[in-house]
Amino acid sequence: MIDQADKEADKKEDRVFFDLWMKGDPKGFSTIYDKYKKRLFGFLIKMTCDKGLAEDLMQETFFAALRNAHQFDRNRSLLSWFFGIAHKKAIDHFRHAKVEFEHQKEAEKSVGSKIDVPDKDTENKRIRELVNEAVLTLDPLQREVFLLREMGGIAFKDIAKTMGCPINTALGRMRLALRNIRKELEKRGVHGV
Amino acid sequence: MVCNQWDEKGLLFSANELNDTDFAEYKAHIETCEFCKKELDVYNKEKITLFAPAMFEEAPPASVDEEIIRVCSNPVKPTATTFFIPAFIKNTIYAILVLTVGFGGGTYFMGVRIASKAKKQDSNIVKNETTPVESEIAGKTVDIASNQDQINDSLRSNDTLIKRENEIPIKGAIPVELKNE
Repeated sequence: MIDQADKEADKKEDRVFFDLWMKGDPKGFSTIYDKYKKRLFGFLIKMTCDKGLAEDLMQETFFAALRNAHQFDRNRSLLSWFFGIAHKKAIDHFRHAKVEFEHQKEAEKSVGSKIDVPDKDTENKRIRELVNEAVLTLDPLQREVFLLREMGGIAFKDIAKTMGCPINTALGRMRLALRNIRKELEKRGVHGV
Repeated sequence: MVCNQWDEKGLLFSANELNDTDFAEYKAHIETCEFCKKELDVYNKEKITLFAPAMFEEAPPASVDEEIIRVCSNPVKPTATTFFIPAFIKNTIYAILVLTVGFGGGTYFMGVRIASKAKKQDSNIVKNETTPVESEIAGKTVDIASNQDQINDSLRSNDTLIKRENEIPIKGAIPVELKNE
């Protein structure tokens, strides 16, 4: 289970740097950005399956955060706030472009060419690749819930609100996501944890 | 054996989103339910290994980092000439100003129009000059009047005639007293 004390300490630290940012101290924003940039960028890549698009959306996310910084509720998690903006940007992009989320085969095709895997030891690298592949094979709605929960740490009730569905629907999608990821990992030779 | 309690509460329990009562109930439940206990254990392990955020993180290119830091490091500050008012209050004030100016301006112009129209009507009543049409009508009225006078005169003369005829004794009847001797 997630350690609540760690979460609260994290929130407190974020608030300090957020206040510095608002006062115009460059250290404030750069600390926050360095802390969350990889997670946000990874999320956008998984959502879009397109690195170039993810780069554009990454910039749009932070520019939007800057414009709306004065409306940020300081009692809220900064990471959840960034994820909410990034998620909205990704969804809006697809809505405007009238592009449907890629189906399973398209996602599998795109993985090798567009996903950058950082340099790690061989076994970890292999598992990481396989997990990413498995996530990209998910139905888009299942993928969305899974990424918002596991990468963004967003509460299920907030995920349901963001996606415009009842909480039971969000929970159902998450259960299916977990089941399908495990099935895909087993197909690729990863059994259990 | 599948337990539907996992479907209903398991994930929420794991995310610490259950209220105190449900949390305590489910915690007691997993002590006795093998299925829920197993599911919870597997999921908790996956969260720190396979599903840890680091598994999905990707570093953005340096050019993207530079641009974002360049633009976002200094937040927009309120200037001396602008007030820091929440957006919705500002918009409400603007809307009220627009409505007031629009309504006031419209009322003023309507009033000016009505006043000028009334003034025009008053000045028409006071003037003695008639319009050409009115003169023409006036002339014809006079003509009619003079004609009527003539007609009346003739009628009066006819009346006199009739009266005289009535007074005139029977034709041929000459009152001659001498005729009877």
